Amino acid sequence: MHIRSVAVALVAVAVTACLALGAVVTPNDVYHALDKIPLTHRAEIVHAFGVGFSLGRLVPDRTLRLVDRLAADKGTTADKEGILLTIANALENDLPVTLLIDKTEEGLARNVPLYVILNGSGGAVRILGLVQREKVLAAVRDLLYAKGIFCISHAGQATATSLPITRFDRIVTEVADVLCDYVESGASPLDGHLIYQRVQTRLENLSQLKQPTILPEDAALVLARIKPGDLTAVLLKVLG
Amino acid sequence: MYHTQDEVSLLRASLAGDTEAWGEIVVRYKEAVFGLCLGFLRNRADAEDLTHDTFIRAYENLRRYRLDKRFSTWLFTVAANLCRNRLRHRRYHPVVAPPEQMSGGVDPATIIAREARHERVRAGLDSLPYGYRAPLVLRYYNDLSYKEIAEVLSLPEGTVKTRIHRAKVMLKEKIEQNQNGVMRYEQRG
Amino acid sequence: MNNEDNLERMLRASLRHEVTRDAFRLEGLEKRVATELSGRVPRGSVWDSLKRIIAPTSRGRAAQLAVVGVTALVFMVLGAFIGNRLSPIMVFNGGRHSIQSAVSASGETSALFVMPAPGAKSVAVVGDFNGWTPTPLSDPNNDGIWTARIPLPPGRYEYAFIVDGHWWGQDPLADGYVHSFGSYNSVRYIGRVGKGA
Repeated sequence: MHIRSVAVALVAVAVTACLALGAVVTPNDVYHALDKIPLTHRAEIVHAFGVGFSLGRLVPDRTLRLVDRLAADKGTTADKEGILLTIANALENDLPVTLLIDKTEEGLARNVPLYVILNGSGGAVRILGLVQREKVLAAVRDLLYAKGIFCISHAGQATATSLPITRFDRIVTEVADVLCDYVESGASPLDGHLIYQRVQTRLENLSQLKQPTILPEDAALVLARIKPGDLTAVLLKVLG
Repeated sequence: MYHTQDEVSLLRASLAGDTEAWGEIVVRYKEAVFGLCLGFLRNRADAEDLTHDTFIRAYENLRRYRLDKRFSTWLFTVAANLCRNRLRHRRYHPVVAPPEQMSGGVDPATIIAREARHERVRAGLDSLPYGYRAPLVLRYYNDLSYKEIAEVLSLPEGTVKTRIHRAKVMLKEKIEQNQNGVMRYEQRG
Repeated sequence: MNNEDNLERMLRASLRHEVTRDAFRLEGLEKRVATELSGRVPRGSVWDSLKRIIAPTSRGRAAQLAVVGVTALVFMVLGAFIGNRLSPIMVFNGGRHSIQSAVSASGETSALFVMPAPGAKSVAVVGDFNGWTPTPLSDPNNDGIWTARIPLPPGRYEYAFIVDGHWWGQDPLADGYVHSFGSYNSVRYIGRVGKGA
C-alpha cells in the first residue's frame, strides 16, 4: 500500500512537470493534426479555423483534442470532414461554435455514429445533428439582430445593446441550446410560452451565479425584447 | 448502439400508454429483431413485416413480460413465435441479394471477393432446415447464450447445443461444396 | 479449431451484412408502430411483475411483508450512507435537496459527484466540463458508494455517469435533466448565490 502511494505520487509529480514544461498547444498543432484525415477541403477548414482562433471562438487545445478524436474514430472520412466543415462554416458565418464542439464530443463519448452526430435522426426520438444546430445558432443570432441587440468587435465601444463578442456569443449559445433541448424533448415548437419560460429560467440561472456567465443586464435585455412567438418562429424556420 | 440503463423507465412509460417511449424501445431493438426475422425466414419483405408485427404484439402483451428476464430475450421470443407461425403458413422464399453498391475508395475486386464469401454463407444458410438455422442465428447474430436460445425456442438446452453443432457441420460442408463449385467453374472458364 | 473460428466469423459477418444492407427498410419503423398503437394501452403493469419477483412463491402475507421490510431496510441503509456523505454540503431548497457545490476557504467552487453502484467494477463521470472524457469515481471503503470531488468554476454543467461501460444520465441529485442523443443527461448549476457555501 505504501509503495503504491509513493508510485502514485511520483507519477503525479511527473505528469505535473510534463504539463508545466510541455509545449502549449498552438493553432499549428491543430493544422498538423488535420493531416491525419485525408480532407478534400483542408484549405477552407484551415482558413475558417484561423478566423476562429483569432476571434477566440476556437481554443487550440480543445480543437486539437476534437480533431484527434475524430481522426481516431472508425467513421467514414466523409462524415469526419462533414463535421469539421460544419464547424468551419459556422465560424465563417460569424457564429460561436462551442455548442457544436461540445455535442460532437458528447456524441463520440456515447459511441453515436458520426453521421448521426452530423445529420441527426428523425425517428420517434428526435436527435438534432450539427447541421440543424448550426441553423438554430444562426437563427438565434439573426433574431437578436432583429431585436436591436448587436455584437461589437474587440475594438468597438460596448453599449447597453451592443455587446462584446464573448457576451454576445454566450447569449446566442445558451438560447440556441435551450431551443435544441426543447426540440429533443419532443415538445411542440408551437408552445412559444413554454419555450420562452425555459429560456428565461436558463438565462436567469446563469445570471445569478457567483461569477455570472451571463450578466444580469444582458439577460434582462434579451428577455425584455424577445417574445414567445419569436422563439416559435425560429424553430419553425429551422425545422421546416 | 445507445446505452440502455433507462430501459425499465421506458417500459414502465410504455405500459402507461406512452407510445413514444415504446418508439424508443423500437429504435433500440429494431435492427436486432429484423436480423432475427431475416435469419429465420430468409425473406426480406417477410422479415420487414414481422419486425413491425413483433413490436405491435410485444406492446400488446407487455404485461406478460417479467422484469427478472432480460427484455431482449422476451422480445426475441415474441419474434421467434411469429416467425414460426409465418413459416407454417407459407413456404419460404430465399433472400435475393441486391447488387452491392460500390462505395468510393474501396477496390471493386475486394468488394466482389467479399460478396462471393457472403454469398456462399447465405446459400448455406438458405439450405439449412429451420430447426437448425434458428439457433444458429440466435447464437451468431443475436449473441444469445445457449440458455437464452433454449428459452426463446422452447427447447431443452442440450438440444440447442447439439443443433448448433450439427448446423455448423452442415453449413461448413455446404460452403465447401459451393466453394469447390466456384473453383471448378473458374478453372473451366 | 481454427477452421471452426473462421466459420463462426464468416457466419457473424454474413448475417450482419444482410441486415446492414437492408437497414433502410427499418427507417421510420418506430413512427409507424407508435402511430398504429396510438390510444392503445397494454393491460397490467411492470410493477405487477416486480411484485411477482419480490414474492414469486410466497403464499402468506407475512412472507411478502418480510421481503418488503428487508428491501425498505436496504434502501434506508443506502440512503443513510449517501446522506452521511452529503451532509456537510447538502442544502435544502424548498424541500428539494440539491448538492450543487461546496466553496473552499480560497473561494474556489467544486462539485461532489456521488453514484451508488454496489458491485460495479468502474464508475466515472463525463460531462461538458471534462470534454466528455471519463473522470473516475472511487469507492475506497467498498460500501458501493462511488464519489469524486471535482473543482469547477461557477456555471451550468451537463453530465452523466458511466457505470461499467453503461451510460447513466439520470443522477437523482441533479438539478434537472435534458434529452440528448435519445437518452438523458443530468444538469447541475455550480456556484449559485446563497447556496452551496
